[in-house]
Amino acid sequence: MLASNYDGMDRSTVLGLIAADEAMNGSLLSRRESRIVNVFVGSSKGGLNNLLSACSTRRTKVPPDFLMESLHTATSDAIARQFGFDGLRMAYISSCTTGIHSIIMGAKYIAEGRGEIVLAGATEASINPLMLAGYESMELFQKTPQCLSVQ
Amino acid sequence: MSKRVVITSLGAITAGGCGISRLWHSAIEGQSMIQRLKGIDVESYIGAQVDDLIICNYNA
Repeated sequence: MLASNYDGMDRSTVLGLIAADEAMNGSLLSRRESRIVNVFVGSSKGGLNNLLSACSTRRTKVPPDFLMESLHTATSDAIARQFGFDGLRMAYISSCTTGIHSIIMGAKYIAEGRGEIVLAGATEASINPLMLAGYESMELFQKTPQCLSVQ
Repeated sequence: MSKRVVITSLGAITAGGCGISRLWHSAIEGQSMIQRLKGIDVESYIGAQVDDLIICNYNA
């Protein structure tokens, strides 16, 4: 997939697609097997950049897929579309543990015999002034590089 | 009866670069991916940020 094809997608979705592409290349799944893949890829902030961009430009008209591209399920949907998966599309969300939570739920899904293959993980693109202000307000963010090697 | 679950493949894009091998190499070498954040007004913050060039240069 060429980088130019990412136009209109939120950064979190693009990152998720690139990671999914590597996983799919390594999986050696056949085309038939790929059709039954379930996607459990979450994003705790979702398409935050898309939403903020639309707000900052005071747009009153948006494309029909704007909301779908901005929700927490946007990356699961994009991966399923990109690779032709017909399975379940889910987005488990649990803040910083979204990735491991998704993997656990994917493993559980297979262990219970509800599916054969799950592509699971998480993606995040939340480095922007608004989110940083939120982290700072919660006193979660290290603002000065004390004890860390910084280039 | 619980079915056996195996991991057959991995994929990652991180501040260390694109791909599992880069992430693994950074981890075992103890390389920090933390640096000053780019592209935002508040430059005093640090974090692990994926460089835009990694995305722009990616062609599957």
